[in-house]
Amino acid sequence: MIECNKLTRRYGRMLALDGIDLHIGAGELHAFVGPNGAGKTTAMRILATLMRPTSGDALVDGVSVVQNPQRARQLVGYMPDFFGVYDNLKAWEYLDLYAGCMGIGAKDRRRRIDGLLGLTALTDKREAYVDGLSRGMKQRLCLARALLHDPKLLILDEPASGMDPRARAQMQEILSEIGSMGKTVLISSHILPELATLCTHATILDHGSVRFSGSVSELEARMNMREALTLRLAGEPDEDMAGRVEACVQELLGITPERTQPDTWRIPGEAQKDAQLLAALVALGAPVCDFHREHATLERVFMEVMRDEAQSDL
Amino acid sequence: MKLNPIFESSARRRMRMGKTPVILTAYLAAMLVFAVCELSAFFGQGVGVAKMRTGIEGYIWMTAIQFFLIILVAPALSAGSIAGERERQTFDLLLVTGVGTRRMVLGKLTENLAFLVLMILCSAPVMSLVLVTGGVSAADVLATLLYLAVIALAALSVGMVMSAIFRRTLVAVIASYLAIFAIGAGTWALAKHGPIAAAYTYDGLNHLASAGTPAAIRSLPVTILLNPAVGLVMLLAGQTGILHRTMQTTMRLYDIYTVSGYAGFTPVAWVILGAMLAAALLMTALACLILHLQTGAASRRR
Repeated sequence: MIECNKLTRRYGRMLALDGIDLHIGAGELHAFVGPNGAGKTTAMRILATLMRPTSGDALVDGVSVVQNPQRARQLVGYMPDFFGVYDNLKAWEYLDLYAGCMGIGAKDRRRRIDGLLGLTALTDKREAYVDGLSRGMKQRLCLARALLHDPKLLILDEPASGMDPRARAQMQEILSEIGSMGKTVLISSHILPELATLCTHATILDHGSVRFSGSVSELEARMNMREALTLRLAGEPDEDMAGRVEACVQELLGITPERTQPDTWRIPGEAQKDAQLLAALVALGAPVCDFHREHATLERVFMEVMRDEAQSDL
Repeated sequence: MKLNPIFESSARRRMRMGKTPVILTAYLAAMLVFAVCELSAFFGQGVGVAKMRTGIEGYIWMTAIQFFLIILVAPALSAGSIAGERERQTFDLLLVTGVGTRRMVLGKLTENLAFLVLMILCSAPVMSLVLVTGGVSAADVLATLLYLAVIALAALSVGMVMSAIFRRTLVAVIASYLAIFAIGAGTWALAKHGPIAAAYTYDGLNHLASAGTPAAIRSLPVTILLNPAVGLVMLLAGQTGILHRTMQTTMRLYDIYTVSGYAGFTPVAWVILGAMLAAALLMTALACLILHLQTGAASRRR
């Protein structure tokens, strides 16, 4: 659905996007993650045809956003990180304005507006003035606006910023529903745990470069391999058993485990020899009742990727 | 007929704004106060030829007040239209709909004009008080209202250009007032004091001024053609015959009156109206062009 080829964007001397190559498949719920100033909004604005790249190109469903922005606009629904609402306008009138600007015929307009107000749980706010809506409602109304022309790609820049947990959960629910409609959704956010549960794929951007791009499960698996192993025995072992367990780990992995509890050890290092270690411990007669690696959160994964890249840059 | 959605939405919002009825009321109140002051001489005294001049003077004053109110209100209306969209952060949202800068400018401009035309139409009954005293016909009153509407359009288009150039509404409003003042004062000063002003001739106007008198308005300074206030004064002079001395002495238009009497002013007023219309169209096109370049170039620069 999205193909970025050597997409570069400069602001004077500052390089906001450093020739990124990116592929986002159709139907993906794709998280766009990165610290402030990483280039997320710049990339999104280019894809939304609001900005031209300094060099390179981006294709949306095969249409170049540089060569054919007018056609690309019909394929993209864009929701920026601000509301952009008018005073003295009712919710349905707000959507009607944009539908009119998009050239949607009057007959079709009402049906679409009602459908989208339903999707975004705003049907009962149809006649309410936009400036009187809560922050979460305004955000959902803006989402409805971005969906008016039934775009194939939805670009959401920080859709949950400044919302309370309940409003965020509601937004997440709606986005899941939109994902199930087969639309490709590109979401940037700082609230990483939410993206982890919502998104199927992720791209990590930093200093205008892609640090990682792939499926969330792939990313997590990569990181889970590096989480410390927790080993716990059933009941407190005697010193002999404890010594044998530590010697076994030392022999197999070449590291000394850290005894965090009388019956528990924390074993750093990677997971390649996990099966071998477990077999050896069982063969020793150690009563293993817990043998697991922590599940990495996307937030932690993000920090790890950033740290790795920083180190490799040195 | 398919309405421009930006016109429709802006008009809807305008009529819901609390300040709209306040502006309309204040506008009419200002006119009514002058009407009552000027025409109070008639109340309870019947109508006579001797009093006609007072009625006509009242009509001229009311027109002048409308002119200044329009010049005051129009830039504030249009200068905020595009800059306001930017401040509200809705400009990008409109842009991604593919609506285009031309429809955006035309939607805003026509909505602003519709509101000013509404103000002018509301003033029609007050202006028509002059019909009671006589001296001016209903057609004259309509012509004056039309003239005011074109002045409103020209003033709005200046504001629209500034709204396209400047990102902040306040800056755009100030720039519009300065531009309008510069156009008014500049053309007047050039015509009245400029060393080359008297040397200008505009022979094309000869035919309009008075058939068979080719040298009728040889001394008309061309820059005057760009001054809406002069056009309005000429229209009123043509209609009423009262302002011709002002015309002669301050605008070096001696020949018109000498040759064709005060009726010679009216055709020149209509020429100025045409020039204003052309200038308004040009400025609207300029606003579209600036915005078009900005949205293309801004995306390159920003």
